[in-house]
Amino acid sequence: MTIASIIKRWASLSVLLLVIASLLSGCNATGINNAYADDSVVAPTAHVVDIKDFKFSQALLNVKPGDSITWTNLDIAPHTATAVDKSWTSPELKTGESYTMQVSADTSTAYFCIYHPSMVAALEIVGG
Amino acid sequence: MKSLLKSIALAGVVALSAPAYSASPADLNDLEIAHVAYTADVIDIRYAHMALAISTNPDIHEFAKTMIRDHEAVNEQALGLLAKLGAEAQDNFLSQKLNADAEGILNEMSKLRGEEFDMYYASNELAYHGAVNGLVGDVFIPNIENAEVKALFEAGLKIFQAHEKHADMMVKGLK
Ligand SMILES: [Cu+2]
Repeated sequence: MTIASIIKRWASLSVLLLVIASLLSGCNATGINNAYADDSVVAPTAHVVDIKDFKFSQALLNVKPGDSITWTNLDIAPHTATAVDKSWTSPELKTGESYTMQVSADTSTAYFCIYHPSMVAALEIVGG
Repeated sequence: MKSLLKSIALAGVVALSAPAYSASPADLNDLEIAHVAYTADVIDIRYAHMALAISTNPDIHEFAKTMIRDHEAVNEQALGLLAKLGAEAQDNFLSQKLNADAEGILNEMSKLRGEEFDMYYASNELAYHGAVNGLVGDVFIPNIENAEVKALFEAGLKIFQAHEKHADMMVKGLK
């Protein structure tokens, strides 16, 4: 889902609620406020993935567009989180360092550590 | 294969410990063990630098850079811990044996080129990490007295086990 289509969907939902609200109680600002409140079901989630003992703590992580993922390296050895197709990557993460990435609908899902290719994990992009 | 490498490594160590030295790896104190580990790290870094200088295979380069990055990170932690403990690593027979063996291997390796070099380097990495992991897991960790030193060796062992797996993947890829 693109940002444009999200905005379009929000806009049409707002208009619809506004129409319903004005039919029920006359035109005021309440309808608009309710429309925003209802959007809390798709509020972005901040996911946390630790890298420890040469493993990503979630081998498969469910995310939705707009979410963020923060990787933190708890090992002595530096690691990365890098898309298998190389479309995105963290910088080198030394001990205790973190990297945060925003998820979009077209984020590539299979990833690994470029330094230790046996370290693999994946995202699953759902909903949005 | 792994246990074979381990027994070769241990056999070498046992043979060494026979007449001239009464020492065996199990008799080393924490500071001697730290010296052996530091030496083993430095040796692998030297192998990696030679690989970067001679090999033209991008996978070998990636692997060698990982060896340098990881072994330097471990040594940095080890030096930090020794400084914190106010101690200094102690040279010993096993560090000297590892260095002597490494000179021979570096000498052999320096004569090779192309796929022959890559295969020698990758196979040596597999055998070397296998032997060191056997020593660290079976002899050093059970004998280390200081809890912080032990924890560092446990973390180090996980790293070197990953390297061993990675080396195994490389050897298979080169065949
Ligand atoms: Cu890694």
